[in-house]
Amino acid sequence: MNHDSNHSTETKSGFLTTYLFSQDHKMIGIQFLFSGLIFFGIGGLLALLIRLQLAWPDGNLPYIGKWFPQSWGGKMSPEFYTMLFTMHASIMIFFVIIPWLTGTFGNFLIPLMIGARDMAFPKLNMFSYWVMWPAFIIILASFFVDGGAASSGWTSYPTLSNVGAEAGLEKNPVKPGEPASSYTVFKDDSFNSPSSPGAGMGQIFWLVSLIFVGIGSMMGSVNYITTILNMRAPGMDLMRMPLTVWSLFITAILQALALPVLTVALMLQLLDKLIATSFFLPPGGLSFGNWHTTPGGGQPLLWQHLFWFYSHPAVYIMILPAMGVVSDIIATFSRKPMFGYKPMVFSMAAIASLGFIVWGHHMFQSGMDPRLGTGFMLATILIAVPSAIKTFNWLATLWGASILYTTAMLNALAFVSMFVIGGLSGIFMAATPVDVYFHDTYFIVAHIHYVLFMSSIFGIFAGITFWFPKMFGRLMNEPLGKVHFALTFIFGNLTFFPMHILGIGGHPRRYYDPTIYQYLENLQPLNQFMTISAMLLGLTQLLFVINIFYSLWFGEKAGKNPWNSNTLEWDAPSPPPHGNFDQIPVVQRGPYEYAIDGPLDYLTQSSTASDGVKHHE
Amino acid sequence: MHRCWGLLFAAVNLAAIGLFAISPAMGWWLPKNIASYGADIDHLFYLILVATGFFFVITQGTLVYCMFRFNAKDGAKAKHIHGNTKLEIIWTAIPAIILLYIGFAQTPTWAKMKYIEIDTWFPIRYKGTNIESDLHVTVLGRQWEWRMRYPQGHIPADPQAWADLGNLHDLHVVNELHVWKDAKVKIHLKTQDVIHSFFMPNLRLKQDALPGKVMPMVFSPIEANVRYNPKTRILEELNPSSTWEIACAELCGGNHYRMRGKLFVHESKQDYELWFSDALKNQRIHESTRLAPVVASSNGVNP
Ligand code: HEM
Ligand SMILES: [Cu+2]
Ligand SMILES: [Cu+2]
Repeated sequence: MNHDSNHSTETKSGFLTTYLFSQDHKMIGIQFLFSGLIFFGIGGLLALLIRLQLAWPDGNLPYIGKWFPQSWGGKMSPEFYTMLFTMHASIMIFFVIIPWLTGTFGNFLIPLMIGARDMAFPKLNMFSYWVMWPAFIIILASFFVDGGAASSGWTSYPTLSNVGAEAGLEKNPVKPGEPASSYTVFKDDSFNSPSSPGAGMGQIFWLVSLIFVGIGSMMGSVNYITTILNMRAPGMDLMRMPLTVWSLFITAILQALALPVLTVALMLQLLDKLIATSFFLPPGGLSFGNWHTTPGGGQPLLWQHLFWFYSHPAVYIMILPAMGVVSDIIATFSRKPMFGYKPMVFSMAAIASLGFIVWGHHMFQSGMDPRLGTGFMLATILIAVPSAIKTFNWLATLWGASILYTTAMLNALAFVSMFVIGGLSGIFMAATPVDVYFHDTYFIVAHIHYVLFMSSIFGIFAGITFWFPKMFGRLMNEPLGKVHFALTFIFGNLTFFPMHILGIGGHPRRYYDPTIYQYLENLQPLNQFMTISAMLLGLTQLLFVINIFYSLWFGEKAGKNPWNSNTLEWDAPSPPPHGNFDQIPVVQRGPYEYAIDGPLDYLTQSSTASDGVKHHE
Repeated sequence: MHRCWGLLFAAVNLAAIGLFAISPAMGWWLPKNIASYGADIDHLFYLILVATGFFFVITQGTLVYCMFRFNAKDGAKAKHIHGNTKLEIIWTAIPAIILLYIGFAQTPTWAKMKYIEIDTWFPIRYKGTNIESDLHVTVLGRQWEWRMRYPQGHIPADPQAWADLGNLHDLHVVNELHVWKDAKVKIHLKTQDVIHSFFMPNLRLKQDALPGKVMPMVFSPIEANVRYNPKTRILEELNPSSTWEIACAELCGGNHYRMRGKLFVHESKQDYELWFSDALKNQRIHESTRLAPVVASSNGVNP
């Protein structure tokens, strides 16, 4: 292969090409890891501000009150609050979870686990990270533009988000003797929006930033799909691939099919904002006080269909890789073969394909035809079946295992436990009549955080801890890791579990001050309790950051295969050099041959020792 | 030490169950239901709670058991097993059956809420709509209030046209929805700016208002909370704890949380009519300020 002959010259590259403009998949994965970490911190701080407001909505926050401008009365303004949750969700989803799962794990692991020297398109891979930088800069800059950051929620529904002051009609003040309906056309060059301050420049920045993210993810997907299909080591049949690779493969396909739809939708909304195209503005025109839009010819509902057609598959993009990672970690530390490898692969494929026909479950109350609702309901209910299959297979893997409680394993076990909760709450909302009540309440917020924080993030913690020695040649600190895990598990549940109860009580999401409602008064102590837990949860994450940086320099040195694991990446040195393997391994068997009788209880995928296993499939 | 992990998982899961157990007693639960179909919704909720509770206990129980029982430090030996087709079929089929049951069990309720007729034998086949109502109200969402419009005689001649254009003699009220007990109410939901969502927790009902569209909402309250006293012109609450609120459930800008309205269910149609005619008279007097809150309820009950 061409690349092989090149790589000896590339190893002598300078600092810039090694660390910044690297085309090495491992360095790109590590870049995604650290930028994700920075945004995890930013997104987390935004979350804590949200929680502060919810616990003490009458403002007057001790100390913190002084940070807010005098004009807000020394407290958070409602508009600022809407910016907080919009940016929190957007950052966590598009700058933390997706980049960590597909960017870090996808880049770092795919070539190593399939026995390739690098990605199929290393340059494209470098670009996939570097287009993230405009996105990073734009999203951060958006906090400081006129009107502030985007504030229409991460879902960014028109017409709140897309009305611009670019063109409209202003009602003339009524003079005596003149008909009341006289208007002048006006033009405002400022991009301000009459709907909310953040829907002006902030929204434009938000849209542009996400378009960059989309382009980057698209490059990544193409690369992952091609690499997995074309560059597997000899003997690495599809059905011998580790579940992590399967999950990343299916995720890449999902992303390649769904992302264009989001990108188009974002561009249409951007056109609405910039040149008043009104793709998402209704024919009748809108009025905000004295200000009227010119009649459009579009549909606000169209955005919701386009958005959820992407974003429902996207929620699986945000969990499938974690499922793969967790499967490999559980098998390794159970010292037992993965139970039901094929059902695990098929159920991921089922989740991915069903995932394309359930988007309407986000729109049961949107004004969609009720008959359509029934179809989406049935599809949504069915998608719980493959989720259940996966859960039972993880449990069956643990049954009769010989469990080693490493930090990575604990985080993986937490994933299983928490994913059960998130999956089960989904069933309430899949039931259309019940969802009428739960939609846009805290029940949804609970669901989101159980699947995304309590599942995906635990999966990510597990994966980072597990592959850290491969990335940097040193192990993360186990005791510190365990303390971090235990506290995150406790405070995470204390923070997010009561949200279910809030939802049952009918507490709407995205409320600046719920206490003005009598029926919510009772729930306020829960809100305060959750805020205190959230602060502790936030503090706990410092342990993770400390552990990473401590271990980078002072961690125990790791050999090639510190966990006695089977997959190919453990054949390479830690950290692997450019080109990964001294010699491309030849794959002999599937990835889960643990519990072997012999001197070692495992047989790596490339080991040529005869397995001596009694195979009972 | 290795045993502690199982304990930790067990404790967290037990705490979760405990919270669900104490919440109804703490008043952290579904608000009172007053919708004709509300009991069906609540039953469905409990059905799903039982089904999911069952799976919760089984899966978390198994996990915790494994964490205690199959421990390398206790010398547990792992078995070399790759899978079991029979088991796979069982744990695919059982959830599938339960889920399909939940799926089909809910369609009659959905049909009732949407006032649709469905096939008895194949309950996802729709046969037609079934909306007959004896009170029409137009609700217009805007940043940040609800504007209600009531027709004279409760049923306009051409509801569609009336919902679009209104009528000179309509009664206008802000943030107050008046209906009577057992009325079949049809709301024509509109918005003049952004998407709002008309949410009445006690009626278990929520509907987005979509710019450029008129969305139907149909319900029938089975309990009253006010009586109108024509002498004092005051709305009297029947029961001090029965304040029923209206909220906005779709983000609509900074003051989204302030779109608070109230639902008044009059004892009877007559009572509603007494209130209506007084409110209308009052509106005529203050014709110039048509959209200011109408007197009737601003006396008795706190707005
Ligand atoms: C058993 C499987 C699941 C079912 C049945 C399910 C069902 C649902 C339903 C019906 C909604 C819409 C609720 C509403 O807005 O009224 C929803 C929302 C959501 N789900 Fe799931 N879900 C499942 C799994 C997942 C997973 C695995 C993830 C992510 C990793 C996820 C992420 C989300 C998110 C982020 C939302 C909220 C979006 C928003 O409105 O902001 N769900 N889910
Ligand atoms: Cu979804
Ligand atoms: Cu609202």
